[in-house]
Parts: sequence; structure tokens; C-alpha cells
Amino acid sequence: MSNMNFLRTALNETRKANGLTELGGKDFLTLVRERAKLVEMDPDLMSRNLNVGFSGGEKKRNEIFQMAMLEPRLGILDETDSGLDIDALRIVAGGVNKLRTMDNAFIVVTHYQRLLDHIIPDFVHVMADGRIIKSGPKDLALELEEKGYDWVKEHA
Amino acid sequence: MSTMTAIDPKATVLPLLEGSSWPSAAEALAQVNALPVPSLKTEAWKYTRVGKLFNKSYAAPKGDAHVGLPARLPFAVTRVVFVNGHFRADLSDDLKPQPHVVIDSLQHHLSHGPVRNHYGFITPLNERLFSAMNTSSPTDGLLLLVFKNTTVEKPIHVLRITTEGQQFIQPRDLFLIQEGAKAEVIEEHISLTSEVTSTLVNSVRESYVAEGAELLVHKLQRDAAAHVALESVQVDAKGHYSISTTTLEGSLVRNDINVALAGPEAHAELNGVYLLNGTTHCDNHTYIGHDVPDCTSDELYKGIIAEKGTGVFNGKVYVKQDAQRTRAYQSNANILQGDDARIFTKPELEIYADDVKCSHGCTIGRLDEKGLFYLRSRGVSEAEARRMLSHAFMTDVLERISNEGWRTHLATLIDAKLEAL
Repeated sequence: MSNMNFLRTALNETRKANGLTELGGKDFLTLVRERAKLVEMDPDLMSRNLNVGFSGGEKKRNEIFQMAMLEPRLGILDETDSGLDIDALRIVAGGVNKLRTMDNAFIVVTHYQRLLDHIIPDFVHVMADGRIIKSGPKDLALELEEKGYDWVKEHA
Repeated sequence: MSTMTAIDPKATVLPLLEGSSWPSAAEALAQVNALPVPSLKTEAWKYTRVGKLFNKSYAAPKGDAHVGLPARLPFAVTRVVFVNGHFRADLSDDLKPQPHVVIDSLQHHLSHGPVRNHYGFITPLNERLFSAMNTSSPTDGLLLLVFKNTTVEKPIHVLRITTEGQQFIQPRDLFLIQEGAKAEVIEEHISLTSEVTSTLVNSVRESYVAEGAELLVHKLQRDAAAHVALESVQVDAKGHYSISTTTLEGSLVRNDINVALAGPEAHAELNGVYLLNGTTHCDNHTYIGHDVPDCTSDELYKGIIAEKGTGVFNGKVYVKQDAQRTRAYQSNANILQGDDARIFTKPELEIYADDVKCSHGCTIGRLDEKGLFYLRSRGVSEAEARRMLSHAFMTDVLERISNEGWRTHLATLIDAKLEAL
């Protein structure tokens, strides 16, 4: 199925669930153009079939674009930085930064500090064996990078 | 002396087969009497019970029924209408759209040279009861004769309407596509009431695709009647034959397609889509004979079977010893929904040449759970997600349909059917 058809269905199903009217073709296209620009989405990607022949980076950029279109109140980005080159990382992070508002939240799951140079977190939580063992401000991530996970496990 | 004779199960149809003046009718009737009704012990009918078709009583098809025609297809076609198997000039378009093309009732042309030279020549009577039945008393059918190097400009839309139940209809077509000619035919079976489940439509179509000629057939079955259909096809050198069969409704549907690739570099493409629910039984039986070198064939059949539906696919490819450099591909993929849905799929490759590329594959599965999760996690409801994935499953078969107008029309009908699955 084409990426556009999928997005339109997903968007209208979400709107329906929220008690909003469905978006017509013209309004949908306007929104697509606006949001694609916001997250620097390659228009080529939209005319292609969903996830058919997408590279790892393209899939992730497409998901940021989906997020821009569907506007979830809570977004969970699970290891969204794995397998991304620097440029793709910058685009993905830029998307998150532009989409963040007072009314939504993102949980960014990562093993590395690298992504957090681009997305500045409000809070950092360290999870081990399914439990949050330490929480702190953004500096905690830097400290972790320096001292390693064993350090936090010992001090938990 | 008195003898006890077992009652012939064909007794229900025999009276309807007598007295026809079509060519070879008497000979065919003798074959009908001699051939048994196929049982589950007959390999070619192992998964499709046809015995019950003979337990019903039938009447001769009604040709003069009053019908309201459905909306025209959303693109330019020459429409030919058959009502209960009878040709209806009054409901059809002007059938002389261009010179060197004959589109007419086959019955009107039985004594004409090209018809006499070809009628009945590629449909053997002695091994298939339903072919013998059809030949013993055809209702009528379409003659399509395209003279040398002529391209039929508009697709021919053959609309076959069944108006009521308990009829025994035997459509008989003859397509002659001469050297270098091209034609496209859309055949659509529709019905006006749901009572037609008790009607039996037993069709035979013979198609000759001469050297360098091209024939494209799109067949859509969306009426509830029982269908037993045979496509007998011969493709000569560099000829191209393509058929796509879409089955959306039907009580019992059996589609036989027998293609003889009779000249070098002949090509056949067979595509099929079936969406079965209720108790619909659909059996696609294909045979491709690679008789000479350098021919190609490609088959792609895909189906979704829900509720108590049953699908059958049997694809035989026969490569003769001489048929070197044959390329033959075949694929059948199925999705089963629910515990009562069934599919029997059987590729059969019989290869006597040593320099060939042949492949076959069949799959039976369920809708991709990961795909469903992906869509649902992005706000799409489960029902909508299932419909989207089902449609996507069919996409590669639909993409093989070159006529964009028809492909779009078919996609809409398929979507509507998917809503019901």
C-alpha cells in the first residue's frame, strides 16, 4: 500500500476516535506538505509503498514523519538512533525537537549519549532489569557516559 | 426378461441436452452418455464434488427475460450482453465498431468458414464430461474474430447476466485472433437475485491466438451460480495469451484453463484472485503445455479464504522433451481466516526437456501479525488494518493487469468484498 494512503487512513481513523471529522483530500495534502517540510522529509518517500525497499534510515525518517502527521500525545522512540548516520540522526532529532510542545511527551530509549546531544532531555531515567533504578536531570546521561553502567548499578 | 438398470445421475440434465443442431452435438451427446460423473476418486476432481450438481432439477435457460442493465464500466468499451446464456442484440452496443473485427452471436456464424475450421478443434470430448455436455447443446456464446494485423480499439465487455435459479446454461465462445492481431476482453458474470445459486453455468471457450497475435482476457465471477468453466487455448509462435480470473462469489466454481503453447516463443500469463467466504468453493485448475522450444509461461494465483470457504489450486506444467529453453513460473499464495476455511494447493511439474527454467511455490498462512501491530500502533482500527493488509496481499496480482481502468474498478470491488470477510 502506498505511504500516502496508509497515512491518510491512519490520520482519519485517529481523528474519528478523537471525535473529529475526517480530513478531505485537499486539506490532507496541505497538511502533508507542511509537515514534510517541518521534518525535512523527502517527497519521494511518500509516493512509495510503505516500508517496501526502505533503508533503515528511511524507515526511521518516515516514522518521524508519521509522528508529525498523527501528533500522538505520547511518543515512544525505541532505539531510534540505531543504524543511523550523522545526517539522518540530525533529521530525526530535529523532527522530535520541532514536534515537542507543552502538550505532548516523548520517551526516547537509547544506549548512547550521542542522540542526547541533539535531543536535550528533560529527565533521564536509567532502567535495569525492567526497573527504573536511577533518575536525574540531563547531566545524568553525561555522567553515565563517563563512568559506565556498572557505576550506576553499584550506586542504585 | 427384465433388467434392472441403475439410474444414471446425469438423468437430471440429459433431457436438456437432446436435439441440438450445433456441430458435433450428436457425437458429444454419445460421450455424455458414456462418461461417468467425476467422483472424488477422479484425480482431477478430487477436491471438488460435482455429484451434487446432478441432484437438482434444471430448466432450459430463459433468453427473453426482462433485465435492467447495470451502470456501464467507467471507460470506453464495446458491451455485449448475454441473458441466461442467450445473446441479446437489443441490449448490446453497436457490434460493428470497426472493420475487420467480428463481434457477434456464435450461433449466427456456425456455417461460416473460419468458424467451421476451428470450432471444437481444441476441446476434446472424450475425457471431460462437462466439455461433452457443453458441446452437446450450447446455449449460445460470443464469436470474436479479429482479422490479420488488426487491433481491436476498445476492450470488449461481455456481460453475462443470470436472472433466476434452476437454469442450466451453457455458454460457448470462440475467439479467433489472427496473425498479428490484438484484442482485449472483459468478461463479467453477474446475477439479479441471490436465488441463482441453484443455476448451473457450464462454459467452454476456445481461443486461438495465431502467430504474433495477442489476446487479453479479464474474467470476473461475482454471481452466486455454480460455474464449471473451461478455457481451451492454443497459442502459436510469438503469440501472447493472458488471462486474469477474479472470483468473488459463487456456490461452486471450477475454472479449468488449458493452454497449449504450440509455436516457438509463445507466451502465456495466468493470474488469479479469489476471495471466498460463506460456503463458496473455488477450484482453479490450470494446465500449460510447453510443446515446443523457447516458450514462456507465468502463473500467479492468490486467495483469501474465510468462514467455510474452500479454495483449490492445481497447476500443471508439462514440458515436452523437445521444448528446450522453456521458462515456466508458477506461484500460489493463500491466506486462511478462521478454523473452517480450507485450501488444497498442488503444483504439478512434469518436465522431459533438460534445458529449462521452471519454478513453483505455494504458501498458506495468516495475515502478518507484525504488520497488524504496526498499523494498529499507529491508530488504525483492527478491522481497517486487516482490510489494508488483505488488499496489499493482492496488490502484486492486480498490478499485472495492464488496463488501468479495469484494475481500478476491480480494486474497488475487491475492497468492498474485503469489508465482508
